[in-house]
Formats: sequence, C-alpha cells, structure tokens
Amino acid sequence: MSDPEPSLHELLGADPPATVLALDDAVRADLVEIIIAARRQQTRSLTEAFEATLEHVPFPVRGIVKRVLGR
Amino acid sequence: MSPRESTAEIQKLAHTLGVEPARLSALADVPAADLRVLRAQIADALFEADRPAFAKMAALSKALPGSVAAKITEHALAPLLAARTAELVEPHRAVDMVSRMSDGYLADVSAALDPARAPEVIAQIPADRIATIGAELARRKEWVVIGGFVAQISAGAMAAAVAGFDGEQLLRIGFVLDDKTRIDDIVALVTDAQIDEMLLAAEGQSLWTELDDLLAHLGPQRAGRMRVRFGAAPAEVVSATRAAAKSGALSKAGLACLTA
Repeated sequence: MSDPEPSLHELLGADPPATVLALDDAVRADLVEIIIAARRQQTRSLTEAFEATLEHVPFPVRGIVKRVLGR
Repeated sequence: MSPRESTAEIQKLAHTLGVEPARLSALADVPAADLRVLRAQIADALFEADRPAFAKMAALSKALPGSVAAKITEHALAPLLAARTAELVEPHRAVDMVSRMSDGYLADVSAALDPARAPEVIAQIPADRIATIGAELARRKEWVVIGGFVAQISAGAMAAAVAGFDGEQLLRIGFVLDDKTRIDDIVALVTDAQIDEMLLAAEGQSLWTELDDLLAHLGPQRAGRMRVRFGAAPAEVVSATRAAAKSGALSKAGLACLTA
C-alpha cells in the first residue's frame, strides 16, 4: 500500500488512526485532496479578509491596522 | 461503536472539511471513535496551517476599540476567519465583540466555530442570545453546529434553546451531539408536546436512526416518560414504529424502551 503525496501524516502533523491508514489508496488519496482543498480555501479567504479589512477600516485607525497586519 | 455513530461522525467531519457527507461515504466503515480522532486532527491542522494570520487578526482586535473591531470584523471578515480569530482573542474581548454583532453574522460565525476551542466565550453568551442563534441555526438545518455547542453552553442557555426547538429538530440535534450524555439532560427539559413531535417526526420523516440513538442514551426516568407519550401516540405512529422495528430501521432495544 503506497502513501499519497503528501501523506496524511504530513498534512495532519500526526499519525491518523490505523483504520484510516488501512483504507484503500484511492480513498486515502481522495481524503488528502479534500483536506488540501479545505486548507487552500481557508488561506484564500484569509488573504481576501486582509484586503477587505483595509478597505473597511476607518481612516483614523488605518495606520494601526496596516502595522498590525504587516501590510 | 455502531454504524449509527459513524454516520453521525461523518456528518461532523464533512462539516469540518466544508464538503457534503456523501463525499466521505468511503469512510463509512471507519469506527466512530477513529473518525472523531481524525476530525480533531484535521481541525488542528487547518488551524495551525494559518495560525500566524489568525494571530494577526486577533492582535488587530486588541489594538482597536471594541466597537470598531466588531464593525470591521462583521464587514470584512469571512465567518470562518472570524471564528478562528475568536479562538485566539481573550474571552472577555470576544464576548464584547459578540454582543455587538448581528444575529445573522453571529450564526454564520457559530457555524464555522469549533466550540471546543472557545468554551469560555460560549459559556458567557447570554441565554436569550444563544436561543436566538440556536433558532437561526436550526432554520438553516445546521444540526452538527448546534450539537457541538451543547457541550459548552450554560444550563440556562440550554433550557432557553431547547424551548425553541421542535421535536424533529431535537431528534436531529441529538443524533450529532458530541457529548451524548447530554441527551438525557435535554429530554428532561422538553415538553410532552415536543416528545409527541419527536415520535411524529420519526414516523413522518423516517428518523428511526435518530430516535433509536436518542432512546439508547436515556436514563430510566426519561425512558419512562417516552414510554408514556408513546402510549398516547396516534395509532399510525404506533404501527409505523412497530413496523420500523420489524424491518430493523429501529432496534429491538429501541422498541422495548418505548413499550416495555
């Protein structure tokens, strides 16, 4: 049984339960794909949120926001 | 662990990953306890993947007045990100921000929040606000979300929220509770009318798995109450329940709980 790339262990930073590791290669590969998609979606939303925050913040505190967000 | 519990865990895992439960159907044979571990691992991994960014958002909420931070959050932050950020903000500040947010946005954030990561914040939200948000989440059919909150809310908030749910909603919420020991507490709070609605919903919506799960977690006193209400149920509900037990949709233990 080969591990998908990246492996579940790499993605999770921990060993998943043995019953999960024992699933078919295709099922584990699909699970890896779903987790990666969830991470990408989260990161994308975060980037958009940073931009949106700068747009919505009142002018007097915009400097504070830029400094804290490192923008 | 039963297949019934694995089904509930798959619903929760799907919620964490933002996919439909059917996408995870290949995990149906994984024991529920292992699915629970996997869900916690995935939630941790997602959180850690962007932790520095969440920390910046949390720092921003500290640097700004509460009213400004709440306004920016609601206008600029997707609910998922607000939820993750709330998990890093001091509880008193998070509670202050929550008090300034609209019900709709707070329901959105609740749907994305991992209640176990923000127990102090949830415990401090007033009971009437919990009931309002609970009703909105029920309207959206966010059973997994509500189920996750049950373990963290105060007794007063639980009573207020339960009063607002109908029997069908209570069955669906009970099925996905993280802490099944609370089922007995919840049934202690429901009215006879809500129990009658549960039995009707089981028959009308084929919620036999959900009813079975609820019955399996009741103590003797609540089980006795269910039995009394089943004795007063319409004939079609009684016959459908017996037929469900005969077909295996309802376990024999479940039927015995209602009829013994």
